[in-house]
Amino acid sequence: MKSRLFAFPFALLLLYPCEETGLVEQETEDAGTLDDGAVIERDASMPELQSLSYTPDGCDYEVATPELLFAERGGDEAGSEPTPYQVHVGWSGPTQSTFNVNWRTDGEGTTFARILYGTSESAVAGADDDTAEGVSMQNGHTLVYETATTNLIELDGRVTLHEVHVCGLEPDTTYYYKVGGPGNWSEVYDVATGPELGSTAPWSFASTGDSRNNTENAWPLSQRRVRDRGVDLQIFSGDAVFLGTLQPDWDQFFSASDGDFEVTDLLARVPLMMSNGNHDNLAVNYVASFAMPQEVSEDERAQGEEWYSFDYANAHFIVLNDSVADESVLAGAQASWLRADLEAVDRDVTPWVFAVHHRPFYTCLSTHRPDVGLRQAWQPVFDEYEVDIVFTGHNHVYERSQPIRGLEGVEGVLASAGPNGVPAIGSEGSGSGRPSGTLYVVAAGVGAPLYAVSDECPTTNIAESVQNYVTVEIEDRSLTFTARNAMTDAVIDEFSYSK
Amino acid sequence: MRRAGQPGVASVGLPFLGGALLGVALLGVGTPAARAQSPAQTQRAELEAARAAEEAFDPAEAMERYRAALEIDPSSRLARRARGRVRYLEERSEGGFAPLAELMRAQQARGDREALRRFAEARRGFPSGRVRQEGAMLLAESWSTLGDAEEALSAYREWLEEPELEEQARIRATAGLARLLEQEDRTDEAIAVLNEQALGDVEVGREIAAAQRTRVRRGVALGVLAGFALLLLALLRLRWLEPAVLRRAAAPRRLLVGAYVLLGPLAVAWLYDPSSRDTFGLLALTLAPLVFVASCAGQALGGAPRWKRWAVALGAVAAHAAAGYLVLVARGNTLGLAP
Ligand SMILES: [Fe+2]
Repeated sequence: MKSRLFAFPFALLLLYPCEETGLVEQETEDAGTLDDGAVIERDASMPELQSLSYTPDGCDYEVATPELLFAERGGDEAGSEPTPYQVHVGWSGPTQSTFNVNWRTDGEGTTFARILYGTSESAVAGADDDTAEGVSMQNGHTLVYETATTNLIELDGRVTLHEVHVCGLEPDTTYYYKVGGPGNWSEVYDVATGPELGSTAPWSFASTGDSRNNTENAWPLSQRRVRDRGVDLQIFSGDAVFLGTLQPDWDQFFSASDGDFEVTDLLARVPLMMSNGNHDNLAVNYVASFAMPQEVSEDERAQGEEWYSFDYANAHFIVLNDSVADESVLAGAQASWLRADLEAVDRDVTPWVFAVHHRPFYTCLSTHRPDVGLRQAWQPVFDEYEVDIVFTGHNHVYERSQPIRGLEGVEGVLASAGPNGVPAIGSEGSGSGRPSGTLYVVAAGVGAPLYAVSDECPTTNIAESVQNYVTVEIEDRSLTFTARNAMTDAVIDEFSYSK
Repeated sequence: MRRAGQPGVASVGLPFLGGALLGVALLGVGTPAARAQSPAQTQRAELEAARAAEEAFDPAEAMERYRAALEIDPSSRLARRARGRVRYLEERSEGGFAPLAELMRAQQARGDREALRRFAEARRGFPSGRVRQEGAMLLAESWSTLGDAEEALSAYREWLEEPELEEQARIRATAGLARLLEQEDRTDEAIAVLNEQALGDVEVGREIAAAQRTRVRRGVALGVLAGFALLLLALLRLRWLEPAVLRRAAAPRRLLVGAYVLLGPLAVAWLYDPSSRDTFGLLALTLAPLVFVASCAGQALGGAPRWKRWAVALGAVAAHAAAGYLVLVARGNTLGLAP
């Protein structure tokens, strides 16, 4: 009798889901527990889904959409509210000769998906089509997806997005552009193509991550800081939003402002290259909103945007997805892709190699423990190909590891270090100019609630619990890395080295 | 940690600095070599000179160099950097750049408490404007990061008292102050600050409210456990510890039932939700003694009146739930109860 009574509380326990969290500093956020929206089952009464793939004029890559409510090449319709907003740029093709633009319109029926662009700001500003001197036009596609807007059970909203790809551009050149369609253009923005691959000219990038929740409006402030640094591109280590399937979260991401600054001021001008976090969860909202390189490899979802690489000037960037549905993909297909991708890198052209993903595998006593499985899956490849810096997030802190090369069991082996914990640079034979180890950076928290962190671990060089952003300036074989407090712009960490 | 000017960066940053100095020299004297440079090279040199001026905390000089870089070619890729910096500097040019120079120094101060105190003093004399505001935020955040709670609290209060405080800054200052007070276990003051500023709904307000609710529930759970212990003592004294009772409670059949109750959920978690294995493992460990004590009490109550047996049974259920709640809260889980 009594043992049955004892069993009763357990029955209750088993009925409750486990993702609800009480302690702010101890959020449980395993990749598998967040809903990716796929659970909202479609029935016969719902409209059929469609997808689109095509090669944009002048480009040598294909663009493919997920399965959506509507996906067609840009048309001639100005719908009820055709004014473009949430404009943002990225790269799906070579950074020195292409760029792409995504934007939203409201209401129903807008199919415009055009861009007018050229190197003269006034010519683009004055044009309504491509008959104007020095102005070119390209047509993209329009898509509509269903989304949750109030809760995660109902697809109660529709979002209209437009996307266009421009190819065949001159390297190292500023282009002015506006998007939309006749009579309904966005304001004129400028975007710059990257230098020729292998260029030794100076350039810089920023790294941010975990903007979700936008606590104290840190996200737009961080983007204002990044804008004021004048970087050429921005990488993002995941968790842009709290719930990837909830459209209001994305609207906050794309429309946030800080005083007179709107994030569009930056995102419409400086390409943002995303990696998927457990909160973004490859939701259709995420996949449809960004256009990243789309080479589909084995076991890869999201039309090839799940993991990818690109080159900029003299650097090779690898963007990985560690928040996968099936963990075996990490050490399996994704590690194989990573190895093949790095094998193909010509280090004479791109001596710098950076990796970006979400969950850190070197992090010290913070909310999420280092992911040892991920370490075993990817570090041997990072080691073999001597990746310079790995950028991650997930723990909302700033951390930089000591240079690490090799594993003993599952523990990272400290490599020799130069001043201020930079990798020692080889000076003889085949080691000449080669850094002793990889630096693992956690640079997250431009809106997500901060976590505790420690610098007590032997692999940790510096750790601080602050909202932060990183800039990396590169000139030929010299690198200057600066981590700053995103709220105050105070320097948290700074180092330089040449190789 | 390293500060600007220490050997770390000085030695490895030489390519930048060298180029910058060379750029300044070439432009300054206008030698034939300078004229022989391509516009792109000259622009690069100007940018490097501007950067060096920023590193030397000379915003006026940096502004001039960035503007010169822009004039050479406003549409080049690198001109974007100049434009970004010019805008940054222009927005902070109050007081002829002297306040900004101080702010730039303070931004590089990191752990230097003396430098922060000097900056705090200087800031009070700044004219109103962005630098004065950002300086207030820098001080509050820096003291807070340094773990200097008293300094941080007064810096937050000083920031909040700034005339012409923008709405966004008011929210940040209030949230920062409330969070710090909460960390210092001064919850009442934290709530007072949030109410004073009519900002109970900012994230930190919700966090504090949630933490308070959790504290109350934790208190109730501990009370239930204590109540169960008292109930056992009142009804049974220590009879439930007698050897015969213990022997009966430890009979294989009862142990099997206990193991089923404790390990069943763990097995389910093990199979279907690897992420909650630790939680259910800890639950089993924590609840095991409770199950055994309850089982002993059941044996000791053999011939007791019905109400006594019911009281202990219900007490055991409540204690069970309370202990389970405490374990789950310790593991960051609140059973779906809104935190
Ligand atoms: Fe995360």
